[in-house]
Amino acid sequence: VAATRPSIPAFVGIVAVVVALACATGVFVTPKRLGSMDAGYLMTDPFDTYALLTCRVMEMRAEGLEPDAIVVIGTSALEHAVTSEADLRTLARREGDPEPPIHLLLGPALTLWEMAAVLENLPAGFRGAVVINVTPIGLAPDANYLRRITTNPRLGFSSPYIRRAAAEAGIEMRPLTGVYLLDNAPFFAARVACVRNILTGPRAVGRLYDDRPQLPDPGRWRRMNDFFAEYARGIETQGEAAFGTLADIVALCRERGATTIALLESVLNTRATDEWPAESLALYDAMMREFVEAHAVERWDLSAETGATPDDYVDWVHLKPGGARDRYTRALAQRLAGIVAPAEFAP
Amino acid sequence: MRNLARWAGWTVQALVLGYLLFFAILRLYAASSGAAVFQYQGF
Repeated sequence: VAATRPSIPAFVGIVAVVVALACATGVFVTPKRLGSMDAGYLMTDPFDTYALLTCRVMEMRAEGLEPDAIVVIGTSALEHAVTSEADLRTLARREGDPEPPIHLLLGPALTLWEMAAVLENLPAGFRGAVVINVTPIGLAPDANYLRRITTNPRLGFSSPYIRRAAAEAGIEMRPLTGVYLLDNAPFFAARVACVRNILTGPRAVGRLYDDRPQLPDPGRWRRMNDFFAEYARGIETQGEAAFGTLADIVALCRERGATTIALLESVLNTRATDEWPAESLALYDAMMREFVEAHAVERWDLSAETGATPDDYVDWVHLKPGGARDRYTRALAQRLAGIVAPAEFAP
Repeated sequence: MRNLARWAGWTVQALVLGYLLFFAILRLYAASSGAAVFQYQGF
């Protein structure tokens, strides 16, 4: 009975147990463990692809990549343009060869900084390819974006590249402690609801915009498209810096060992892009052409093969399930097949 | 039997409270660097 009464020893005991649990969790939550677990346990909802992306990168870091791996890093636009990673592998397979190791690493509105973070955390030494998803609106986000992704990181791993960019922009970041859980505290603290997954099992990944087959109402369309048009206009002022980041990404790809690097343009809704400033889009195109030539990378634009009309989209950038998505998947698989090493020459 | 039920009750309470307390501390730590502690989705 005495044990149930509040007392100083009981209080000290509770604090000691919590501290011990916290320390145990700090030791238990490691990149390696995240890499070996089902990402579905860490997802707060079926669309929490940042958790999925984190676990997949940690898995690659722990287990290494196939020597001929093809890593495709992209945004939700790409997620909605491809039927599945498995379909890409099947479609890109050469007759008589095994399926090529294609890996889709996707996150909604993933910025170039975060793509660099993904690359930094990939194991070095694979001699495959990296495909980077680009758009005129994703290339030059407003100056506050870096602040937002450093104060509220979306990925569960740190990045020297992002820390350098933040320092240059005058954004203060907490020094790293070396304890994975603490260094990524905002990422884990936002996932308190994960405890539900212990009882219900890992979550299955869903596609956020597949549940919204209707175009947004005219008011929302206008507000958001004005916003995107402003982002596109940002090319004029921030284009140089953005292409500088892209050059760093290409250097990171080469550092990791990638032999082929391709920039994959998102296929955008022309109803939206028609309202974006034409001169900014022309400038983007010119800068991209110059970049591709200067850095000896490929540029893939699949809009002709996809043949998407405004009716094929849920909104400004996300394709609906169906014909256009199937065509895009086939077209991308065809491009990927072009860079797959034939089995007899595979490293 | 009664003792077993009491222990089970205490264990569940301790786990729930421990989990919540742990996350509260983690959230406070994250918030102290300015994080809003929600999953920022993008645009």
